[in-house]
Amino acid sequence: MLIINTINNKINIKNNRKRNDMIFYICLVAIPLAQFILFYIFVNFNSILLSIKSYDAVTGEYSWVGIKNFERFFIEFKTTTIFKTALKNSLVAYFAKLLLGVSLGLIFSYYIFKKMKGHNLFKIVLFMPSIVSSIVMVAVYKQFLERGIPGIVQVIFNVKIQGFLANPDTLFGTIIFYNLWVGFGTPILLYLGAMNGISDSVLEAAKIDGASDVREFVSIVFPCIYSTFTVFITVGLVLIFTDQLQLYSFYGADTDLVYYTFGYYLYRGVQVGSVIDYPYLATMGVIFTLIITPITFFVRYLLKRFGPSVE
Amino acid sequence: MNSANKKINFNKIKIKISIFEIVCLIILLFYMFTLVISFGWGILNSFKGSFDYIENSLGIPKPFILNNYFDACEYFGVRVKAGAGIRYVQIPEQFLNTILYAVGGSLIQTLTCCIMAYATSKFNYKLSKIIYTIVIFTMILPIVGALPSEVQMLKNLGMYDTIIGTWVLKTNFLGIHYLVFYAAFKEIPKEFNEAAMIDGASNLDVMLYIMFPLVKFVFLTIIILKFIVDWNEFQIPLIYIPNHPTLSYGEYKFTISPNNAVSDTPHKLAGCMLIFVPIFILFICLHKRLIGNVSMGGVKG
Repeated sequence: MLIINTINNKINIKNNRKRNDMIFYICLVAIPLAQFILFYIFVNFNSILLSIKSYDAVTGEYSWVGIKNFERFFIEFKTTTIFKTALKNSLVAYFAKLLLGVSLGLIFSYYIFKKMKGHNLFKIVLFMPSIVSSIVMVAVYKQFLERGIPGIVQVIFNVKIQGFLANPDTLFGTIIFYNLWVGFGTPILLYLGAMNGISDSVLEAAKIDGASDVREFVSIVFPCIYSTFTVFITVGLVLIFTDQLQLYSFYGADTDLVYYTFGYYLYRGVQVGSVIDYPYLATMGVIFTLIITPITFFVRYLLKRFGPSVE
Repeated sequence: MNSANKKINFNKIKIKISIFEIVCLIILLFYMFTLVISFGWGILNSFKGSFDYIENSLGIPKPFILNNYFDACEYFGVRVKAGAGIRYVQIPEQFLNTILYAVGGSLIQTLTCCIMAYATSKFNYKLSKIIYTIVIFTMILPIVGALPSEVQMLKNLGMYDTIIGTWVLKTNFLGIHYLVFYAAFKEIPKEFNEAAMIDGASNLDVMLYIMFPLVKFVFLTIIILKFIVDWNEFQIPLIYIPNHPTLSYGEYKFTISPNNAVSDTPHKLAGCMLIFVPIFILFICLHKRLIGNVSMGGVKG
């Protein structure tokens, strides 16, 4: 009898603990999950609904319009230059960042990882633009390019040059350069984190075999951090449609149309536009998502299929 | 004899430096030079008068003018709607809004990621696996242009243009920091939990007094990184709290201000330095923690 009671007690304690665990777990995840349902699932679902609606400013009500907003976008894309320009600018910026930003980021990370000359100082220097407000960075950069550099050139070479942002031919390139210039911080932190996970014995073996820095980077380090690199590339693809190139910090809502990107267009539309514009902006968001999603998964597949092997 | 040996040893020293290192060093030195010279130029010119700036944009200020900073403080106010009229939000109120937005927001978001990561890494329910998959999936799935819908949602909930609304938006566990906490909690052995439970500790005790202290460095790093981002952010406040300007929002308005009293470059630069200095001091004090080893797997504390 005593044994049965003891067993029953143990089962009760176990059941109570399971119930308490479940209650505690629900308390922990309930609020964040509710936020996720409301501000991710419902917000994105509402975006789709908004894309097939239009807002009547007189009655203050939404009405269903089917695919009219989608038709409007494709007609405007064909007949106006703004979207073609935005597409061109967005692609140029994306590929510039991909080719120069990513490769330099990897090389700088390797430099710091190998503890080459001044690595600690450069780590701080490369991360610093990430902690400074973009408004401050842009203001200093803008004024320095417009007054500082022409002044220096005049003193040294006695030649008068136009400011890079004042010259329409160099303006867009200057903005892309700025975005590269300030964009090394976070990638370097993540690449370094991945590099620090590489086994010392592998690096030692390469050293004994007399591998040069470049050889070690190409044959050992890059394959070992390839998964981090893949995440960076695939997650970064969406920037084609969301990157604003910090144009808001440069020119606020008054950027010249020829320098627009899609990201800037969408943000500006919400910031200076009104409720009337929301359905059309949501339509653009839905179209861009439909375009970029398969591209992202395809690129991810290619990177995994044809990437270097750690073996 | 000793000095002779030293000489011999000195002669034997070979500087081992590869071409790769030399090229990188030159690029990095150039990068540092551009950063230092542009900021140094900016700081110097923030102390110049308008005329001095035009005549002498490369030299030392003649004389140093502190008034640019006082003027910047005076004209930093942002015009906002107040009922049927308008009012100006000055620096003290902008500072308070920044504290509420940045401190509150970073604390809420870091805590949310930490709690969700703890729950899903330590409790082996199906929902935990679903949540983990959701985080990974949302990181890969690119969604564009949800901003109008999000603004509409906040308006419907009556939280648009309120600091609480921004906090609700920050109660969000999606993203890389969840994964960092998740990895950190996974590394803690189960025995820690079980030993405490046997000693009579509740689930809450285990979480607050055993688990959270073990990830305190990760927590600290993430909250500081988030605080810096929120402190500098002006586009989100511009959209979600247009009538509760933060300091960065104020700085944005200040840099595009057409007001004659502060429309020249030295005044604009002085305004920039006002919000740059506090965050720069914070960075100098905490740079070792901030730029430690962050990885997808975790932060080494």
